[in-house]
Amino acid sequence: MALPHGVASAIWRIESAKIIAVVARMVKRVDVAEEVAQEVFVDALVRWEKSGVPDRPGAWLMTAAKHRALDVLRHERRVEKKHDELLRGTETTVSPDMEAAIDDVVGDDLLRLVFVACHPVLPEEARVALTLRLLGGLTTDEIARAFLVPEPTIAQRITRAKGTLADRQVPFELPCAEDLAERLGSVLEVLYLIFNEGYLATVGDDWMRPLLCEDALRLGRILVELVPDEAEAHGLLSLMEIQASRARARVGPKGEAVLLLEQDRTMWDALLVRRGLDGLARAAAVAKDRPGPYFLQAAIAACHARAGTADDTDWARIAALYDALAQIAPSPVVELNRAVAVGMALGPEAGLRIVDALATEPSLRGYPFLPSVRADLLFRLGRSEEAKAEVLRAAALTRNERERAMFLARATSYVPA
Amino acid sequence: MRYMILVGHDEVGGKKLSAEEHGKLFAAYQKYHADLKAAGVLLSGEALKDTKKGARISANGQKRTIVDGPFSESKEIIGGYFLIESRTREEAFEWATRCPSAHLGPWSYAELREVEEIPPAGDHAARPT
Repeated sequence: MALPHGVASAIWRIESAKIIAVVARMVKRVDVAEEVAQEVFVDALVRWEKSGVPDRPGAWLMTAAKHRALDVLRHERRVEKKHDELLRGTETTVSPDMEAAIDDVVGDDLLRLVFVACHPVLPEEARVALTLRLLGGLTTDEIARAFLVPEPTIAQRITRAKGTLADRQVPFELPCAEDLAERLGSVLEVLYLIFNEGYLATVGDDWMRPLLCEDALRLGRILVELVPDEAEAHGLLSLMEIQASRARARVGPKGEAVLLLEQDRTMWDALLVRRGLDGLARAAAVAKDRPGPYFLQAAIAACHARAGTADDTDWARIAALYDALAQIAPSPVVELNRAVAVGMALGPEAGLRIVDALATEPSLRGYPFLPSVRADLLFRLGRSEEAKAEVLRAAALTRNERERAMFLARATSYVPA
Repeated sequence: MRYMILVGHDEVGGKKLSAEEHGKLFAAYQKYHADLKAAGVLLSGEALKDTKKGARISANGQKRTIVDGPFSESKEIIGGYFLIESRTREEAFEWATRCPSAHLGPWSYAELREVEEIPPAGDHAARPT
């Protein structure tokens, strides 16, 4: 009897990361571990097609994978032993940690796998692909479709990444205490990249891309269980949950983008908002030193989430949070957002001062939201002709048709009061 | 996609469990809850108390009919739920089959239901079902 459609990939998606992680700790190599997991899974499917899926398929796969991993190790030792005997003529003993390696906690292995998949020796896009493949349980084809690249490109990226890990002899270990913050930063960056790849594509017409948001959220939820004391992990998850809560509201009936302040807040997903706010509270509870960038961005998102209407927004608090963000992670885009918040909290003149200081910023030269923000502030100051010129400049800069339509609509609305 | 796993059972069957069996079942639910959380699929989940203090209400605009718990005549009651998010129905199904209530015998079961999602305003044709 054949397994019902999709059952095999469902079990793989649920179990594969744990199995790869445990085997990788035993054999010390991620590429070998993935091969072992895949071989065991293929064997299992053949067996289950005849006998049906066992009651605990995860336990079955894990046991089989550990046995195969031990075979791999024994084989390696035999080869090693022959070498040793040839070289030194001495006996090697079987390492006692080989058998003991079997029953350790899975959680630590999974965390090791997270850190290795997001290792800084790998280029960013390789980290993303490897994370989705090894931890998300996605197929190469699913990853390729989500990122709109041909499948062989992703396959090659993954193969090369695994090769790099082996060549550079990246150990299957948790980072030491002094490296932890930086290494965790790399993991969080990868998850947020995956999330944004999906989130920014919500307006597109390919349904695979928005699914990346769910994948990033799932990985973020896994991560906070693995590192419950890391405030930034909770901060990132909180940020993603709150952003995801707006997914339905940020696209209008004609597929146009709807900006945050114009969204119908009744369409925000209350469950995700609540989870996001809870996550922020957990982040605050475990924070050891001053807040990190994800925590601050989540706190800003939470200000919007808590406001029943756009008019209720606590702009003074948002401005203060952007100020803190600008100090630890300064960037022109953060500064521009701070200008918006200051413009709302203290008035358009104060906002305009910050925006005008950004006028010569080279990285914002082609950024349509610089003239767009400036236009809004100018209009509120009664300088509607200048406002109109600025928003038309924004329309000329954007490459997104829907954004252009939005800017042009604003241009016609800028009439002297 | 979101799915709800409903814990269904006949209340009498649950009452027949010994204290030790109750303890084991409670531990099984705790582990299940932890597994769902560790896999990153759990959105929320709650256990419901027995129906002693529950009520069933149905009104037709003129008359309200209220049945106070316990619902002695009913064979099936909902004892709790797990709300999960998963990429496919098969994955949700796999989680549902791991729910302790699916393994207790004929007086108990796990029910899998897909949550109705309001599509984004402009996205009526985007997702295949």
